[in-house]
Amino acid sequence: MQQGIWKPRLFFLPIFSAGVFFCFGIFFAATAQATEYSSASYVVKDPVLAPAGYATSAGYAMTMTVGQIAIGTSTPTVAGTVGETRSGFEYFPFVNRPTPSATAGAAQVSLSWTALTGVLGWTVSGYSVGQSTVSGGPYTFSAVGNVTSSVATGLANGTMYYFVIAAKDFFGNFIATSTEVSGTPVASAIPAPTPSTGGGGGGIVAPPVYETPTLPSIPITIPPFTLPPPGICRTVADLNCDGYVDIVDFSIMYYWYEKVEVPARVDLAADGVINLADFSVMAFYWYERNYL
Amino acid sequence: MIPTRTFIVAALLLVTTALSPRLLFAVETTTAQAAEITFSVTPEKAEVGKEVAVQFFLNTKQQSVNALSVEVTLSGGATLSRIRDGDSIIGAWLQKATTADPTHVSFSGIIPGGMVTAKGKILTLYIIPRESGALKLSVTGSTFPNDALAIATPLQSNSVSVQAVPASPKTSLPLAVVETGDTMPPQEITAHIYQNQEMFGGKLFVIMHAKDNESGVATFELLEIAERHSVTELSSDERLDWRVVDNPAPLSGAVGANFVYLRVTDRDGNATVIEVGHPIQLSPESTEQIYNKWFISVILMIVAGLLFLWLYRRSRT
Repeated sequence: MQQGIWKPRLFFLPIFSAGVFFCFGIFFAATAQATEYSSASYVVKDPVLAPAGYATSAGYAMTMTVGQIAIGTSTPTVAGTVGETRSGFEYFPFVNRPTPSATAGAAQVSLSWTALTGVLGWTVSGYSVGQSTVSGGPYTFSAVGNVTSSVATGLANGTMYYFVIAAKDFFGNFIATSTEVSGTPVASAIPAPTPSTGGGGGGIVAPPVYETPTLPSIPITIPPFTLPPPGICRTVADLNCDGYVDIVDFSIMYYWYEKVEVPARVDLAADGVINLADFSVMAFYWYERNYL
Repeated sequence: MIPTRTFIVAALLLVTTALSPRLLFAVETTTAQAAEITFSVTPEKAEVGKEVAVQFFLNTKQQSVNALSVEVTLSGGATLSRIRDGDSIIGAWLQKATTADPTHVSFSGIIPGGMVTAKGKILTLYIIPRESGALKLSVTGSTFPNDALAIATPLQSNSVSVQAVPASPKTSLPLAVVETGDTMPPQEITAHIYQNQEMFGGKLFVIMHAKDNESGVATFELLEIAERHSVTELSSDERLDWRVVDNPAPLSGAVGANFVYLRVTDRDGNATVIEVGHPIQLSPESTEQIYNKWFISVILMIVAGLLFLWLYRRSRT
């Protein structure tokens, strides 16, 4: 009977243990026990987490070092065997692949892709767009900078174009290439000019393009002004709490310009009305991102 | 029983203490030199029927100023023909100068972060004398020091006179060309869709911004339409249902119902169109937040463990 009651309560035991180990791991981490392990394709022998000369200064404190790191490779020197011996922990730099999408327009194709995330040593410094009229390439690459969208212009309407996005590291090496996307530019859907009276037989007007609207997709939600600002608000003038005081905050305040009954958070001059005095306070706290 | 004189002295002391920051500031503002508007007129002697450019500059008198409000009164027979404000020190206009009233122009805006300047360009008014004689432009207004106190300082009153002479077909004066024609469309356009339950009744709205370094941004127009169009062709489109909007501007459609285009036109008629696209995430989750989540998780686990221990001990007893 007693055991039956305790069965659900025992559920908390692993959670508690995990919490305790987590805390110990954070606050008392120093030397880790080495454990050898292996698989069919590799062997890790005598791994060591070694405390070294701990350094401290007024600005930082080093509490643990991990020694003997070596970069790894996923290609064995001899196929199917462990053919290479290196000391230290191996790690594998990784970068995911961009996921592209293409939207065709008049004589152009708009491309957008997901930003890549590099870990353990690979940092994406920019992208190149590869373009071809043949699926699978060869592609002609053009550097577009460290952006996640680009527009291929000057294309022939009615021709299918194929694109891939290549990510580059600091030295300009391609470190990841996306799957291929395609788009066929078409003539614009803007109505053709009205033919003049007495004109000729008339030309061929391209049919309007009716695509499924995909934009805009997700609006940015601004937190309510009636609530106290959350902790990430940079200053009192950061009305949307995005860490910046910029044109967005200016626009939000402008919405209440010369209105009465404004939210107290917007009324920076605390005089019951939004006027130039409030904008002056905002200008004092101005801190904008570099958009371009 | 407190003697009356003591009570009065105590009350005065209290009032003085409470108001001391404001009194101190009032003393400071009156002793500091007020900012003033200065002018540059091209050509100095105008002809009837020909444009005269009057450039407005701000002299902050060695103080940092972050907001400005100006009223211009134009007296004498003249017409206000156009305005250029693209290269202004004003970073964001609260009230843009317009030519709607031929004798009166008012404008205000902010200088983000403040500025100390002896000759910071604000804008250029172009006027055309209708008759010979003296034209006078008088300015009043106020500035705000770059602090968070929100206390205005009046501008030093100033004025400029322009002498207009009858037009002479033989000895024509130089034209009022202080800037070359603007052929560049607005640039650095940003527009994103936002939503807030207290703005526009919870409807979606667009916050937009653009720069035009020459004649200045004149209008923002929104187009919500079911089919996609080429932005190049939309820049000169006059057939579709564009709405002239102020910033911020509410959207009439729901999310995903329409393509949304923004057309920004400068004062010289050059236009740029962008598709209001995927909004960027302006606030990536900060490291501090992530740390807080982990910290809270650990605390919760410890609390759960302690609860478990307490229940366990209680059951044993």
